Amino acid sequence: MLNDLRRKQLRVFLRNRIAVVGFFLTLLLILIAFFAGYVAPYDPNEQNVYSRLTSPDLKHWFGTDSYGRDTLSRVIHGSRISLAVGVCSIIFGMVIGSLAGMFAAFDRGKIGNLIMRAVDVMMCFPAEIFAILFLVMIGQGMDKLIFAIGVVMAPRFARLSYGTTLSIREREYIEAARALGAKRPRIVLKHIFPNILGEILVMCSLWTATAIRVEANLSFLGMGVPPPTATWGNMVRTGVSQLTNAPWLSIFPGLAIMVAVLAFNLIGDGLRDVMDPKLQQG
Amino acid sequence: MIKYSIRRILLTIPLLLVVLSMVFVFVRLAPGDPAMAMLGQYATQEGLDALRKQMGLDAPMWLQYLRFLGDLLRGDLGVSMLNGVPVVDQLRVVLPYTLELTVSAMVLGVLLGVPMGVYTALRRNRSADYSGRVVSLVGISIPSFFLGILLLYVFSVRMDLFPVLGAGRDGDLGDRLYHLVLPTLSLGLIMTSYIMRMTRSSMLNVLNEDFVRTAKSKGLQERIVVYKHAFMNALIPVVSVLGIYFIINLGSSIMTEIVFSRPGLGKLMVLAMKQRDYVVLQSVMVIYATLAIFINLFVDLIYGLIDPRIKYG
Amino acid sequence: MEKYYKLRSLAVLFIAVLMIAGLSQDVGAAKDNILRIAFDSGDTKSMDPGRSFGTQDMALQDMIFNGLLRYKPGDISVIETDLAERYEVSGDGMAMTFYLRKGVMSHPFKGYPDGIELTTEDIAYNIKKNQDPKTSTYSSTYMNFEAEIIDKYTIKIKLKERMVQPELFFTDYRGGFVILKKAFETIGALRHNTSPVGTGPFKVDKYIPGQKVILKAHDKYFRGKPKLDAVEALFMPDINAREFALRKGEIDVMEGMREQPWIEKMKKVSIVEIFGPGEINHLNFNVSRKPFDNKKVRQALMYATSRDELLTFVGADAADPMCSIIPPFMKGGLSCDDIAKKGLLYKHDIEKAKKLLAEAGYPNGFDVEETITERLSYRRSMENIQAQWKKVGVNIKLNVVDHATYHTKIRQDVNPFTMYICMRPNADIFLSWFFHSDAIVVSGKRPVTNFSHYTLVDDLIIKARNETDSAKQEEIWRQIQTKLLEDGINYPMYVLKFVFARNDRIDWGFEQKAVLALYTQINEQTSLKK
Repeated sequence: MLNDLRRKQLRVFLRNRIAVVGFFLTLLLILIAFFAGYVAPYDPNEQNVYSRLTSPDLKHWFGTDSYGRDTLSRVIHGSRISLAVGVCSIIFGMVIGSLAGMFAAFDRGKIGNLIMRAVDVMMCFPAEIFAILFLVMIGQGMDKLIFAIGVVMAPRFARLSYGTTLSIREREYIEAARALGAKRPRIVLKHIFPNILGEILVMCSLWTATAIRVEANLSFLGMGVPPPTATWGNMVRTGVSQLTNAPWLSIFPGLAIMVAVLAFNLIGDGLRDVMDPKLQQG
Repeated sequence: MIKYSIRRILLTIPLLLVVLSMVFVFVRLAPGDPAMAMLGQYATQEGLDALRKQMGLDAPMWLQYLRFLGDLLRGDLGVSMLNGVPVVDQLRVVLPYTLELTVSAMVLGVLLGVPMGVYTALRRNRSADYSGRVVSLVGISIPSFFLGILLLYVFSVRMDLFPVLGAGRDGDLGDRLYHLVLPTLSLGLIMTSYIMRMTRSSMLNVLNEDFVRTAKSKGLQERIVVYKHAFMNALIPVVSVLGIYFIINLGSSIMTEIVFSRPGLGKLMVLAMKQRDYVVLQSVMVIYATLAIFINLFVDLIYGLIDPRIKYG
Repeated sequence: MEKYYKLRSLAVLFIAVLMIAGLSQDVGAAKDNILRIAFDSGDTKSMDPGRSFGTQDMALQDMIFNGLLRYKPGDISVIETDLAERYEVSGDGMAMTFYLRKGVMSHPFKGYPDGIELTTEDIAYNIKKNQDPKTSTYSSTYMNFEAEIIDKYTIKIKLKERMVQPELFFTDYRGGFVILKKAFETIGALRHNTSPVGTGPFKVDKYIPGQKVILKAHDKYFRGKPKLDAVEALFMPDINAREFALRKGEIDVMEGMREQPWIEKMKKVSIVEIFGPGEINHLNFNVSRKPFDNKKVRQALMYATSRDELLTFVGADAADPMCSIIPPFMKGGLSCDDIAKKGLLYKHDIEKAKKLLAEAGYPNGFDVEETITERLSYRRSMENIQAQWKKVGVNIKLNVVDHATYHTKIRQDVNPFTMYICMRPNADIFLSWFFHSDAIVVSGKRPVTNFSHYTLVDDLIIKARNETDSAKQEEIWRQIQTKLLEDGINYPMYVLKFVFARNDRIDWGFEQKAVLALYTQINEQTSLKK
C-alpha cells in the first residue's frame, strides 16, 4: 500500500514538468560542481597580465576580470562553494532545528517553552542580519559560513517539526508506546521522525534555495568565503565596480546564482505538490 | 481589540530585551574594537588606552551592559563612538529612506502580486498560469542585489532613463521619487513574486471548496457574489504571511541600498560594523528588530479584522 | 471581481505616477558657485585634527584649519609660513620661535558671531591638547614640546629631546592644525568632532551624518575671501555612485580608483588628476616565525616576487616602483637605480628563488596562512603575490577580514609577513616605527609597527637621529636601508599615488603636484567657471 502511494507520488512529480526541469538542472549543477576541474577551461585563479578585462569572446566565453582570470572557469568553480554551503548549512540547520523542535513538542515543560521562545526571537530578524551578526563574531571562512547560515535556518526547522510533532504525539499509537514504557528517544526515532520526514524533505529543498541566496547576499556584502576562492557573490561584488566597462563580470555570476536558487525552488515546488493531497486533484 | 493590542505590545518588550542583550554580547565578542578602527595605522598603546577609556570600553562588560540598559530606559540611544553624533540623529536621517523603500516595495508587491495571483488561479493550467508560475519562481530565486544591478545596467547604463544613484535631493519630492523607482522595482518585483504565489495557491484552495463549485453552475449574479466571497477568503492566508515577507524584504533592502548607494539602515549597519561602532550597530539592530516585531503585530491586527473567526480576548 | 479590477487599475496608476515623477525631472549640472567633491568614505570619523587622520577627514581638516607653517598648496617640497609671519630655529636645534600674523580671525561660533582673534595662547593650548591622549592621537610625539608664551604674538617652543625636523609638527598637517582654545572649550571635545572651529578658508555650516558636510566660505579669511561660495563634501563609498554622479554633473570632482583600466576609462570623459606623494606599499617578513627566520627563505620570496607584475596590475599611471623603504623624494631616500647599483634589486628570478628555497630545505615550497584586509588596495596586491609565490610552491591561505580587524590582528602579531600601505613624514619616523626593537608589535617596549621583529639597526637609527650634520645623517639612513635589503627584511613594492577625476569647470588656482592632505586641495584660490 505504501509502495502504491510512493508510485503515485512519483507519477505526480514526473507529470509536473517544471519540477522535472528543476531536478535535471540541479543534477547538472551538482555534476558541474563535482567535475569543475575537468569542465573549466582554465585554472580559476590563474592570473594573466596580458588579457585583463577582455570582453567575452571564443577564448574566454564569459570574458576575464581585472586580474586576467577566466570568468567562466571562476563561475564553474564557484558552484562548489554555493552548493556546498547551501546543502551543508541546511543539513546542519535541519539536524539541530528539528531535534530542538521535536524535543520542545515532546517536553512541553520550561525548557521546551524556552526553545520555542528563542525560535520566535530569531525568526523576527531578517536572515541576512542574523547571519552577519554571527559572522562578525566568529570571523570568515567556509566552515563559519555554514555554521552561521545553519543556525539562521534552524528555527524554521524547529517550528516545522514542533508543529508536526505536536499533532502526532497525541495519536493513539504513541500514547500506547508510552504506556508500554518506551523511552523517549526511541519514540521520537521510531514513530515521530519517520512521520515528519516527508514534510522536512520538501522544506529542505526550498530552504536550500534560500540558503544559497543568503550565502550569495553575504558574499556580496564581503562576508563570504575569502578570496582567491571564487564565489558567485564575491564575483558580483567585485564586478559591480566595473559595471560600466565590464558588465560581464557581475552579470554571469549573478545569473549563476539565480539558476542555482531556481533549480532548488523548482524541485521544492514539485515535491510540495506531490505531498499536498488537496492539490493533487484537478 | 485595544486590550489585545496592548497585551501584544507589552509582550514585545521582553522580546526586544532579549534581542538587545544578544546584540550587545555579539558585537562585543567580535575581534577588533572601535578604538583600533579609529586610530588605525597610527595607534599607539597609550592612545588606544585613552580612547578606550573615553569610549567607556575599559569598564567590565556587565557594567557596560547596565549602563546601556539604563540609557535605553531613559530613551537615550547614546552617541556614536567615533564622532560623538547622537545615534538618534543618525537614525532620523536614515530611517525614512529605508522605510520609503521597503514600504513602497511592499505596496508594489501587493498591488501587482494579488491580482496576478488571482488571475493565474482562475486560469489554472493554461499558458498564462504556466508562464506566471515560471516568472514568479524566477522572481523568488533572483537575489535582490542582482536584480538591482540588472535594472541599473539596463535602465541607467544602457538606456540612460534612470541615470541616478543615491536617494535624491532633500526636500525635493520629485527627485526623491525619481530615485526611488529602480530600487523599489528591484525589491518590489521580488515581493510581487512571493505574494503572487501565495495568492494563487490560496485562491486555488478556496476555488476547490464546495460552495464555489456549486456557484459555477448558477447564474451570473450569484457567481459574482460567490467569487467576491471566495476572494475575501483567499486573502486571509495571504495577509497572514505578509509579516514574514516584510522581514525578507527588510533583509534584502540592505543589499539594495548598497547597489543603489542609497542612504539607509542597511548602509549605516555595514559602516558601523566596519568601524566597530558598537553603539550605532546596537541601535540599528534594535530598529530592525522593532520594525520586524511591529510589522508582525500590525499584520496580526489586520488579520483579525478581515478574518471574522478570530476573537480578541 | 470588481475589487480585483480596482486593484489592477490602482497598480497601473501607481507605476504611472512613479514614471511621470521620474521622467519630468531634469538632473543637469548645478550651476551655483558651490564645489561638490565626493569622497570614498561612508562618513567622517572626526573633523577634529587631533582625533582623526582618515584620508577623507584630513581633506576636510585641510579646508577648515591652518598650521603655523604650511606646505605650499599643491607642492609639499616647499614649506612656507601660514599663521606665523616668520619663525626662527635656535642654533642647537632645540627651540623654535614663531611670530604670529596679527588679526587672524576664527570662524564664528556660539556666542561669538564675528569669531575671535588667534593668539599665542591658542598655540600653547594646542600643544597641551596634543599632549593629552584623551584629546589627541599624537600625544607621544607632542610630549617632546614645551611652549613658552612671550607675548600675544610671539611664542617659543622648546624641545626636550632632539628630533628630526621638529618644525614639521607645526605645519598644516595632523596635530599641526591649530584649533582655538575658547571655541574648543565652549563647544566641548565631543561636539568639536563634527562642528569644529578653525581659521581656514571654509567653515563647517552643516553636517548630515553619513551624507555630507557643507562648508561655507569664511569671509574674514586672512588671505582674503574665498572665490567659492561653498564646498559640499559628499560621502559616497561606492565607486559607481561617484562615477555616475560625476558623469551626470551632480558633482565636480571625485576620489577615483587607483587602477589603470579605470584611469584610462575616465580620461575619455573627464580630467584625471594624479598626484603624489602617495603611499608606500611594502612587505615585512616576520623573522620570529618559521620558516621566515631563515634568510634564504626571505630572499627566495623576494626573488619570487615580480615588482613589474605588481605594478602592471595597479597601473603605471597610479604607481611608481619603489625599491627601498625611504622614497627617493625624501631626505635619505634611495631610488631603484641606487639599489640596482648596490645589487640589491632582487630582480624577479624564479629559478634562483627555487634554488634558495631548496637550500633552505624547502624544495617543494610550503604552506602559510596570512590575514589580509578586504580593502582593495591591499587585497589586490596580496592576491597577486599569492599567484606569484604559488609558482615556487609557496601557497598562501588568505584570511580576509575587515580593515579594523586587520589592524587589530597584525598588531597581535598574527602574520608571517605583513603588508602595509602608508606614508610617514621623514626617514627617522619610518625607520624607528618599523625597524627599531622598541616598536616590535606586542613584545616591544612601546609597540608600534615593527612587524618583522628585526632588532639589528637600533644603534644606527639613534645615531642618525642625533647626527646634526644632515649629509652624514642621510648617509646613515641609506646604510640602514641597505642592511634591511641585505637581510631580506623588508620588500618595498611601489608607491601608490592619488587619483581623482573632475570636470572642466574647476580652476584650482595652483597645480596639484604633491599634496600631503591626500586630496585635490581646495583653498581660497579655487574657483568654478560659470
